Amino acid sequence: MGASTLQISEVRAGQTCILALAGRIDSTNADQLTARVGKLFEAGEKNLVVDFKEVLYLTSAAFRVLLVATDDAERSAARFALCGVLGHVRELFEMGGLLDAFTIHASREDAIEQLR
Amino acid sequence: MKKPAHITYGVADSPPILVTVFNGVQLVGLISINLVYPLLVFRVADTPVELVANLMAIGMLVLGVATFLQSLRLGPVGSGFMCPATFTASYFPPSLLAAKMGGLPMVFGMTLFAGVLEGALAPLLNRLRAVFPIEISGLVIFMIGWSAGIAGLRLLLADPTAPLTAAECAVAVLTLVTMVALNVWGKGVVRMLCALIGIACGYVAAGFAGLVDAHQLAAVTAAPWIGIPTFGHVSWTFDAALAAPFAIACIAAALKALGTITICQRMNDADWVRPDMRSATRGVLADGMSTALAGVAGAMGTNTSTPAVGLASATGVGSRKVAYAVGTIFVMLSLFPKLAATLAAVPRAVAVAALLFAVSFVIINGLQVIASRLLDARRTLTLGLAFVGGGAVDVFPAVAASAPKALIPVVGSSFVFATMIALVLNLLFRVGVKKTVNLKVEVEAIEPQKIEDFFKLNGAKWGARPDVVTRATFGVIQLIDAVRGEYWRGGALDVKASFDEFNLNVDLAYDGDALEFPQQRPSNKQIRESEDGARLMAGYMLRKCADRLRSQRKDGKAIVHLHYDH
Repeated sequence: MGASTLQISEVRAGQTCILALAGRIDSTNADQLTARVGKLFEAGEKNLVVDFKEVLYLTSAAFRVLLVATDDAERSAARFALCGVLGHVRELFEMGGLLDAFTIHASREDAIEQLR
Repeated sequence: MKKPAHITYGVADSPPILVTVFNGVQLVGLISINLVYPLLVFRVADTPVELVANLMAIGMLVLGVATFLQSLRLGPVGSGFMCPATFTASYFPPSLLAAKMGGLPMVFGMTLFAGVLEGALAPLLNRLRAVFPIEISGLVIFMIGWSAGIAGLRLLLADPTAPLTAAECAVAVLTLVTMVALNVWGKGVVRMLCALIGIACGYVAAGFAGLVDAHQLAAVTAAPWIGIPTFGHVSWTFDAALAAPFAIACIAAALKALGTITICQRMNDADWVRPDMRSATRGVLADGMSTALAGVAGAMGTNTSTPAVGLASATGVGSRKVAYAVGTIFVMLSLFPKLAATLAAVPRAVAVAALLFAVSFVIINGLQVIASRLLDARRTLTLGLAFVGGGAVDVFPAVAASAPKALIPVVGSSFVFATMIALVLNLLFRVGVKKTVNLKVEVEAIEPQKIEDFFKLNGAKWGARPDVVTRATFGVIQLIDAVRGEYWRGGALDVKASFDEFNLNVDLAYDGDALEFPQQRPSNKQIRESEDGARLMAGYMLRKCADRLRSQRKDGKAIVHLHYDH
């Protein structure tokens, strides 16, 4: 869509890289996220967490990105997880029957702890 | 389903045998208080005590079978939850009417009618909400409690053949005070079984005061310890004049079953978002079948027990195995004629006190349901006039008595008359309720924020529930996201949103190809590997997010109708 904005910021916590997302994820910016995740795996990242806490909404385009990322992680022998999947965003995961398709942690701290 | 943290044993878990049995006994104690409803109906029909004893045994057998029917999942029947059956206040006022008009055969025949009707209504429940909105459900619950209380008091205070004595008054007060005191200040099991303890105290006091009829006492003594209830005396008659009261009670029972099963769903699923109508429909069908079975066997209408589910939530034991225990205990109790005879001989002062205790909760439950809605002028007038109309029936019974005979079941019952007034006014006030707004989205200027604001602003104006507005907003944004590019050829995409309190309908029309809306989710591989897979996922999500979806082509445009229940 014309004006959808998605901010992606990168934070490191020890051996884990966190991609904190904010805004909306749809087909206009899904490629931006795919490229960012792809680059990290290519660079040898072994522990990647995507934080959805500040995501306002997402469309099915986001699910495609995440499924591709799960595949990339497997190929790179890396660990890939999500956190901050709450409220309406969680409902969308549930609606899409995708809660079990990803490793989802309750919070960023939990995810870091688990991936340590 | 993800089990919530406070639930120790979820619906599919198997608790240790002792936990199962103890919880089963607790629930049977809680449910047994409602045996007072059929007991009073049988008394009004001047049924001999020996027959009442047999009918009470049949009643317990019906409760046992009904509990199994609800907790098992036999094809399209049964919610599968720990949701025991109980006799209900809903069928008390119409059953009293039937008992007065045609004795027990009329009670059983009309109960059978109500059960069949509830079963038939089960798949239509969701659409009934416009006719029977939440506040009218609250009014019906309130009026059930109110008219049951008044009927109980009439039995005690206004029976010309047996005027109230000072001893009866004292026993009634003692019974009620015991129940109230244990309920307010008691703890644990004592509090939970306060009604049964109150009945036991009242029974003993009535015995000392000489209020237990010698004939009834002889029936208890003569009753064997073990025996099977007999069905030879059961017969059925029907009267069209009673169809309205039983139909209203049946809808009230169906809505209560729906509510109780929704509580079960929430109790067992930490990720619960909205009612699952499949298990709810199966549960309401089981509820209707149980009432039909009650009519056939010779009992009063049954319903799901909300207090029992509440207790299961409090104890954290929601396993359906506990429901099997409850069902088994009730079936076993039906095989003890002496127990049934003891119940049948409960003095009226004790039974009416127990009734007043039980209906207090029904009345307040009705008020709470009403208070959960924002009451605008239409609803205020609907409820206010219905209350006044219902109250007038009890204050001026002579007016109703002078009505044509066919109308007496409607105008002679405060419960039925108040409900009728509310239903008519509700339908009348729906005229002019529907509001429609439009939005044009240009392909070259799609702004999600604008779409969000459009729904947020109008949703607030309409008083629509935020969760429904959010789903509708997602539907529009998801559809636009999926069709932009290849499917949407250009020009404006028209969004038309209509709201009428029970429905939010969103129609989207655009020049281009129709999207596919699959019933099955595409596989992860399909989604990953192609744009088409991702688009199928969009169609699947749209189907899941709306309560109903329809797609068509008209005048060269693709049109998608999204319907959301409100």
